[in-house]
Amino acid sequence: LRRLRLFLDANVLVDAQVRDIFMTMAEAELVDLRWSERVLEEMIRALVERLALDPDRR
Amino acid sequence: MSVAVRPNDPAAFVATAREAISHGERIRLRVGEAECEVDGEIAEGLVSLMGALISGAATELLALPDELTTGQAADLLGVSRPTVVSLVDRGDLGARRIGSHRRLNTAEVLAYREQRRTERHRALDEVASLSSELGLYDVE
Repeated sequence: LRRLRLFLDANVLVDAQVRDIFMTMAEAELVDLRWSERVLEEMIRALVERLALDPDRR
Repeated sequence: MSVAVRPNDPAAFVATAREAISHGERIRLRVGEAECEVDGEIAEGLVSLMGALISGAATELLALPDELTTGQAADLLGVSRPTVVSLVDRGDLGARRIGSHRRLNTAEVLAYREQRRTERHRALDEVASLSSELGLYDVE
């Protein structure tokens, strides 16, 4: 009954495709995902940086 | 590379994929509608994880009792036991006290799980459409 619990680092959350793989597994309740406030901050920094490199978007 | 995963042979899947990754190959993984191409550390991690999940895929079906301990409810909800306790203290889940122990109504816990699933599904849809709007699915 107990599922594998995974802690996701920012590099996993930043890549939309990789993130979706984990989220899909979590939605199918194959794994439990965890991340921290710090990981989210790091993810936001990385995304802002990436979007800033490409001013056409947003 | 592309490997068809047969649930009866997870070891072969993991071995083949690991070999390819160690040669610096990118691998493509698909879970439901989600697809990704990865290499290196992330590829290794994902492949090991999928191997473990496939090996454990022989899931046991068990009949649930009418009432659950906080630990059983935690397993069912995929949260920790202290989280269940605080859900009870907050009034999100009802519980009956037997001395210092709490017993939760199984039907209520399952309904709560269903509600969380719905919310999670909506949130993930939102993340996906936002990502697509921002071009985050485009390959760099």
